[in-house]
Formats: sequence, structure tokens, C-alpha cells
Amino acid sequence: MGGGSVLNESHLQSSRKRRHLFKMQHQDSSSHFLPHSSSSSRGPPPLPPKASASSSSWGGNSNNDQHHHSFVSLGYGYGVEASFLEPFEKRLRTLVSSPRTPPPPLLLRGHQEWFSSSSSSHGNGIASPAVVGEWFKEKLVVKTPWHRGGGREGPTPQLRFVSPALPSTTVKELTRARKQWEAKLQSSKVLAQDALSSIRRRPADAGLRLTDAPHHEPLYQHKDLEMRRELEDYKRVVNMVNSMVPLTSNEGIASISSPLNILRRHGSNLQQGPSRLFSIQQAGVGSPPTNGTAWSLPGASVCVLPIDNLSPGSHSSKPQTQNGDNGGEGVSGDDTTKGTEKEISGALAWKALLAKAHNHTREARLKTFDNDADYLSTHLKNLQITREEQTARREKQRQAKKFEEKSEAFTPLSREAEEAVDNALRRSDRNEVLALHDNSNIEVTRAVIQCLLPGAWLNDEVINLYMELLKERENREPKKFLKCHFFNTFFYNKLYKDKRSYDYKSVRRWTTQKKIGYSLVKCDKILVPIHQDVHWCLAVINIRDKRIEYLDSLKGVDDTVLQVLGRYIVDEARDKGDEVLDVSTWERSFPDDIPEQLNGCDCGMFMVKYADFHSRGSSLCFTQEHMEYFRRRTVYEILMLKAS
Amino acid sequence: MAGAQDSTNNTGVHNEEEKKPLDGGGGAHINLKVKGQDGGEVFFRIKSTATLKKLMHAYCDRQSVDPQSIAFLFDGRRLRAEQTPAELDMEDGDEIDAMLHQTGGMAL
Repeated sequence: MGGGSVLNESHLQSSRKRRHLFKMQHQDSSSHFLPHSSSSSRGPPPLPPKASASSSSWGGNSNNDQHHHSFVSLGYGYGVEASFLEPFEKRLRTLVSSPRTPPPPLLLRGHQEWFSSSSSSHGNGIASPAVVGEWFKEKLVVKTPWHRGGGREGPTPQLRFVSPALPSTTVKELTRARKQWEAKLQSSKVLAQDALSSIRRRPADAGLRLTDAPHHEPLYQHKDLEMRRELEDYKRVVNMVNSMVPLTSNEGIASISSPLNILRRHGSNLQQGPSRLFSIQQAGVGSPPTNGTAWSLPGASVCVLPIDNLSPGSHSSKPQTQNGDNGGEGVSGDDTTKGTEKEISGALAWKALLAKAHNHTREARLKTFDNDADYLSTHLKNLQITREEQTARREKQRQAKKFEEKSEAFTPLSREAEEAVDNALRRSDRNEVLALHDNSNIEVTRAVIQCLLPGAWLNDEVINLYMELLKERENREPKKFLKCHFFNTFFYNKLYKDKRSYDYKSVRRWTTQKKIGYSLVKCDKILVPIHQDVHWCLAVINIRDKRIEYLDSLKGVDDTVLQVLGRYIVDEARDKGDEVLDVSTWERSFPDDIPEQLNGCDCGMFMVKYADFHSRGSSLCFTQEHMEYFRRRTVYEILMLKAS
Repeated sequence: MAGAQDSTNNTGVHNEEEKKPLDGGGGAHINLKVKGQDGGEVFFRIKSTATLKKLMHAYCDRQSVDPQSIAFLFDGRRLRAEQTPAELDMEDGDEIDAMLHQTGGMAL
């Protein structure tokens, strides 16, 4: 029993929280029974009270039926809250009806109808249920708002009449929409009336007979619909007629009563027009009109527009219209006096504008065509020129290729040469001297020449010897090759690199007339190998073309080299020949279109070949692919001590 | 001869020793200066008819370098060990450049 009460209490408290929320929302309605609850004692009373006492504390209302009804109606009235009302209700009912549960807590006289199923609890008078009931009642009184209906004054009317199904906003919206519809209807009616009355006023002047369409008395809504549809049709017809009025002339339509005007303003007698409201029939004007124009409107019968007097004056007015360039209303002078013809003159102005625009467009297009023609002709010329150029270039390339095929620079090695090269490169005796160049005192052993094996780095011996060979080649055939001076790989080191400062004195004696047999500044080109720690480059002092170039197969850039060499050639000219050479205007360049090294080992070979081709005076027409051949060829040339 | 004392080389300690005639044979002695790439100078006194072989070896020994890795230049021309100062028209106080051999390929 005690356990049961505890269970009830916990449930009641949980529901009490929810009620509390609800109470806060409806403070006004719950406030009036608060005093009542305060008068009752809190917690279960110590003594089992009499049923009558508890009944009086419950509220003193003897009308149990009312009480019951109020409960039911509340259950529906607060349909929104039903979700949390129901469990409590259910729990209450199951509590009461279940046979296992303790006798229902409400043993209050006069309240049995509340729980109609709990007949077993009637008049029991047992103390503890009554205690529970008292306590329960107190909870109920305090916490359940729906109970207040069953309090003193009975069910409250305002709770009864709340309709949960229709929120007030919906009603408002519906009302508003209805009002809008009504307003629209009213306005459309007014419009229709206006149209009708205006038509009625006009027809006498227009020579039109107006007859009311036969009209019935349809239902209100149907009538409204029809009216609206007719109104739309009417508007559409008016618009269409307006758009179809010929804009050729401004004469003859002057009179206000012109049928055309009326047509333009109020629509035609088209069948799809507002037939139920009115119909315009052509009366005065002869049918078919002599000067009229027949317009066929889509989905309509033929509409005859009486424009009797239009055509004669059209020719005279046209130039006027076109002369009045500024457009607007003052296009034609005779029309401005009549304000009623504003639309016509406006139309004319529009037409003039249109014509003008057309003219402009045509001119613009003509101009565009001319421009296009010019552009295309020049483009054609350019294309032809380009084609010629391309042909020439292709021819040049072909010749270059032929030259390459024929050129000594690419002569394939003979079988003997190949064998000699293999012998030089493949044998194992590294210290065997393979070549001794007397003039330069350069001794080439197999260890040295093996740097010409594919993938090996070139050493200075090979390069210096090859430079000597190039010089000898030039001396052999001075007409075939440019007059060049080939410095060895140590020159730039002595001149600048070792000390990191320019030192002309240390190389001054390198190029005496006695030593080299010619004056350096009289050469066409001076070729200077540059050793950049692990990389070979070639600097070319092109005296003939007054240019200093730095050829790096890896597209490197070293401006110091060019500066130092520029300074050197000036000092050299002054020292050797007392010449004053001005290199400030010389071009210093890092040519970009030179053969490019594509690996990490052929820079020495590239450098040597730059020198070779510069000496030949030919373009640098070799690529990475040629390097293997060049290596073998160089081996052979060194072995022969003769470059070709 | 005066150059030996005036020189500002960094190997002055050995100068006296090196200035001694390398070749005991007859003929005029000339003083030669061997200049390294680091700016260091070594002075030698050598008979003009003697080959440069001893000079080169002495220099390489002193610098502790492999003779194969050094190229000796006189006015930009390579010297061979068999050559003598007389052939090369060397004069007293002439300068010989000792250059390290170079190689290059630029491995990427």
C-alpha cells in the first residue's frame, strides 16, 4: 500500500512538472483557484478526515455531473496538450480500475462519477485510502488546471469553445483572402462597368450601334468568373488592336470620333471580345471599306480597321517624320495642336525612331562589313606573307639539314676511326699516352681520354687540347674558319676567378704577339672556356659583332663573366695595341636559343661544340642527341691530333 | 734574386732552402716563382738548362699534391717536365702557375 502511494507520488510529481509549465502559460486562468489550494493543508493530514470534510475541502460543489463534463470537455479543449494530459489521465484510470492497485485514492463522496469504473471503492471509509485520497485531491486541486472547472462555478465557457482544429491564424488568413477576392471582384466589376458606360457614350459618334449582350443571371461565382474572363479578353483585344493600328499616317484620324480611335481605345467587335458585356458593330462605315486594311488576328474573325483617310497623306507626312529627328511628341507639326493625337504622333515618333535605328543599324553593319573586308584582306596578305616566310624557313631548314648531312661537323666516323676510338676508350692501360701535342705540351693518357666515355665529365686536358686543335684547324684553313682565339680553361681562373678580383697583370703575357703570333683584338671571336666549379660554359667575345655572349648549356647566367671579359678586352686592346676599345655599347647576352643540355654530364661536350661551331661561323645546329657522336668524334680527333 | 726577400709568400720559411740550386750542373741560375691558385708563391732557383721536372716535383712535394693533378703553366702554356727554362726563354723572376686540373659535367 505504502509502495503504491510512493509510486503514485512519483508519477504525480513528474506530471506536476508538466502541469507547472502549463500553469505558467495560463497564469490568468489558474490564479483564481490558488487561494483555494492555499487554504487546504499540505501533505497528507495526520488524521483520516471525514468524507464530508474532504468533500468540502475539495471545493464544495455538489454538482458531480457538471464536474465530470467539465473534465471531458477540457480533455478535448486542450487537444494540443493531450499528449501530456493523456498519460496522467490514463494512469489515473488504470490506477482506479486495476484490481491490484490499492483502493482508489478518491474516496470522496460525490466524486465517484469522476471515475465511474471504480465501483469497488464506494463508501469504503478506510482510513489510509482516504489519507491518500486527501493528499491526491490536494495535488489535483493545486496542480491540475482542468479541475478548476469543476470547482465552485462549474465549467468555464471559454475553455469549451476553443476549437483545436482551426488555429486562429488560418481563420485570419482565410478571412483576408476572402476579403481580397471580394475586393478584386469589386474592382473588376467597376472596370467592366466603366468600359460598358464608355462604350455606351461613344457609339453615336462612332457610327456604331451598341447592343447589350443577352445576359442571364448565373450564379454569383459563375458570373464573377465570367466577368473576369471577359475583362481579360477585353484587355487583350484592346492591346491587340492598339498594336495593330497602322502607324503610317497621322492624317484622317484626327477626329475624336473616328472609329479607329474607338477601336483603339475600346477594342474591336471581335468575337472573342467581351461578348457578354457589349459588342460593337460597324454601322456607319461602308463594308468592306475602300481604303481599309484587313487584319487577321490569330484565333479571330477578320477585323476590319477603317483607315479611310490614311493613305493619301502618308507620303507627305513621312519625310516630316523622318526630318523630325529628335523624336518624341513634336514629330509632325500639324499634329501637336491636337492633344488627342498624342498616341498617333507618339507612334509616328516611334516609327521614326525605328527607321532611324534601322538606318543606323544598316550603316553600322555596312561599316562592319567594310571593316571585316579590310581586315580579311590584310589578314589574307599577312597569311600569304607568313606562308612565304614559312616556305622560306622550311627551305632554310631543309638546307640546314642538307648542310648537316654534308657538313664536316657531322661526318660519320669511318670503321677504322671507330676501332681507334674503341681502342682508346676500352683498353685497360690507363697510363698509356695516347696523344702528345707538341705545341701545347698536352699529354693525353688513356685515363684522361676516358673522360670522353658516355656519361663521364670532361676534364680540362681534353678541352684544352681540343681548343688547340681548333686553332690549328683554323690556321690550316683560314678562309674556311673564322679568325678565333681559343683561351684555355685556366685563363678565366687567372684573370678573375682564383682571386675573386680582376687581375689583368696575371694574364697580360699570355697573349703577346710573340707568343700567339697575332693581335687578340684583331680576331673575330675570342672563345673563353669558363669553369664554374663543376660546370663548363663558354664565353664568346665577339669582336666582329661587338657582342659578348655567355653560353651555358643549362641556361645559367653569370653576368660577372661578361663584365670581366669586357674589361679584359679593353685592357688588352690598350696594352697590346694602344687602342681604345669601347665595349659599353656592346651587347651582353645570355642567348636562349642555344642547344640545351638534357643530362648531367655533357656540359663539357656542349661547351667544346659551341666553340667548334662558333669557329665554323655556323649556327649552333646540334642537340643533345649528337653528344654521343661528338664524344667519339672528339676522341678520334684527339687521337689524330687534328680537328676537322 | 731580390724577389725572394721581397716576396710576401706564405711559405717563406722554406724559401732559403728552396732557393738552393736544384741542379748541380753548370749554367746560369734563374729564380722562378711558382704561384698556386690560392695565391701562395714558392720560389725556386734553377739552372736554366735543367729540366723543370725537379721543380715540379719539389713543388708538389711541398704542397703535398699529386703531380698528376697539377698543371704548370708558363704564360698560359702548359709546361712539361722535360722542358728547360732555357727552351722556354724564361727569365729571372718569371712566374709559373700551378693550376689544379679541372673537370666538370654538372650532375643534376
